[in-house]
Amino acid sequence: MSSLIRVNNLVKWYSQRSVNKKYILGHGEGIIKAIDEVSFSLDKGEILGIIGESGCGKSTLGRLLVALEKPTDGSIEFEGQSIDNILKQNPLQFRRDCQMIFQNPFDTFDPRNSIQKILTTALKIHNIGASKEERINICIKFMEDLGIKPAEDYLYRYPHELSGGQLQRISIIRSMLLNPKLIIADEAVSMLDVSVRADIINVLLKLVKEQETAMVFISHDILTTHYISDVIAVMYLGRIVEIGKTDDVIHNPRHPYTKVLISNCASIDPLEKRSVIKISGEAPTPINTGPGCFFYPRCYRACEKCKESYPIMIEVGDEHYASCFYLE
Amino acid sequence: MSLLEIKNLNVKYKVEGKEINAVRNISLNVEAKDSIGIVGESGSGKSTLAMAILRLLPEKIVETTGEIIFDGINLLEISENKLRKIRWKDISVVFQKSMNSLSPVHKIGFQIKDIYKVHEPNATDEEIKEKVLELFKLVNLADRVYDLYPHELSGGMMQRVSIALSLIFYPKLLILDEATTALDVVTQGQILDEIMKLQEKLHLTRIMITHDVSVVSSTCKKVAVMYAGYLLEFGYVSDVLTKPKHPYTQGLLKSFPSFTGERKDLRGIKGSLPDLSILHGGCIFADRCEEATSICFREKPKMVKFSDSWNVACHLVVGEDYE
Repeated sequence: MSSLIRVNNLVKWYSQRSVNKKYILGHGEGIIKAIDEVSFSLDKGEILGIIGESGCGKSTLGRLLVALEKPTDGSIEFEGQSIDNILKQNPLQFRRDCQMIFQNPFDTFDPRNSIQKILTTALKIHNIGASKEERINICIKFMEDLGIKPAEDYLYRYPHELSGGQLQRISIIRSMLLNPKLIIADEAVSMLDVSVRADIINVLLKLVKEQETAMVFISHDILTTHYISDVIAVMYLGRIVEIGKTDDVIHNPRHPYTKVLISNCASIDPLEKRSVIKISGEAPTPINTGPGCFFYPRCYRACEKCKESYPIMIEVGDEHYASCFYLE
Repeated sequence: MSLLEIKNLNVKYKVEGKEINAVRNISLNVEAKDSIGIVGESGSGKSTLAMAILRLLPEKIVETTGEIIFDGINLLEISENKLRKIRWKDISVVFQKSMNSLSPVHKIGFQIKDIYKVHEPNATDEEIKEKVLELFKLVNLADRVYDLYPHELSGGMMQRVSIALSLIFYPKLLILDEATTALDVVTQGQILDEIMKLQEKLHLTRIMITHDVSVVSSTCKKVAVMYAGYLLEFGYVSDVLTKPKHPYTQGLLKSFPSFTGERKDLRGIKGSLPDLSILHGGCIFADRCEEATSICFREKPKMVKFSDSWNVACHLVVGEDYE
């Protein structure tokens, strides 16, 4: 079975401006390796969760997948064709197939457009629905399905008249209206309050299941990602250090970094006693990273070998990969 | 004896002809050496409560009634001059975004020195530096931070500076307003750990304000659940978070995905926060409550003692368990 999207050795480097030399702002020598040789594939209807600390390249990866950024090297294949080719031949179709949900719904919409305009514009651009009335009807059906009732009340409101939860629903509706094949949800629920968050997650899951859409769920919240995704990838400084089925990664983490992340994730049950693995130091920046494993300065198991070369990805279980020297 | 006693505190914002009731009738007792977590969603009045304790709210648009008794003194009645002596020396705060509370154009050392001299005008520079470096050691900061600018530090380090700053007079009461929310899980874990150790060492009383229940469950002894300005449930963490009595607390805990075992269904609470500018007749949570009966819409529930140190404000709890 061919996968929906396949990412091969994707690389994205940003060059760092040198600010040390006075008055000369040019391209300096520092290279920020935001994404460094990332590979994975995603099937139809599958949900991939990406977790990691801030600055590890999660969002950059999301933006690369929907072609908002151009990769430095490597390729992304969408349904067997490279994204570059698709964009040349039929950019509109690609935009329809790949949609994105952003973190802050208040920044996503034009504050001067009403909800009706926001939603129908997407349909109009893609020539769905013959007349304005038909398009509005499609929107109303979608909104009522997602619990925005009565939809007519909301159609003529402006974004600032809605609460964050409602607006994020509209954001989800807009991205799902076109029946996309792939959705990138970049911290889509992080802004919301917990009591609302759970509802939005369920709405998102319901839609994705109904339409058999694949989703990349980017989040720093491990508990939520655990709940949503089928596959989890853990990123550290631009590289995937562990990837596998959700239950395998969460309950049987193999990479030291994954272990640290999971053990630090506090539970709401005060009686639960867990041993927290402590590490010192802060996440370093991905500028001019050395030849060794990126995690070794903070790793509790680091040895000389880790300093010299980057461990390759090996299979540690059923569709479960990790890159570390200590995997037996 | 309790260190801080809040009695029937009401805070009202008067904005554009509207009155917004941010904190309604809250009574809370904080014993010395306690650690209390205040949880609630955004807009539930947690931060307003903390600011009211220190009287940091703008007096022109805010009306505060009730009593806040700290160490036998009513903070709402004393003069501004007397209050200045208590602020920071006895009660100090760590805010959420330390990057916003530190001046970007002054070195860390200079800023700390400045604050220190407000209370100890006769202290010499060397004395202060010695004291600050000692504090830096407590919060795991290197000495060189003293001569750095805020932009040269990472988020976690800046938060540590803020904590060191709040501890400079060894206050009796420390309020942490979302102090670790903006940080990564690993850094958050480190800092929470350090705070717990400091509390032991310095005999602090700590109030922790957060929307993250997991932070409270792992670091606090007691928890207060707030919703739309009201205090709904207050008691030991081990009681409230395992066998919640109030429907809102139950709903809140169900909205958190759990780690262990099977992935069970995640349930949110329907609806959203009520408009705080309108006075509500009944229970504030009745509109969203699944178990609401007619009395919930008519009468405000009173805070009842469910057990020795467990207070719940709900009609249903009285009917079932309380005699």
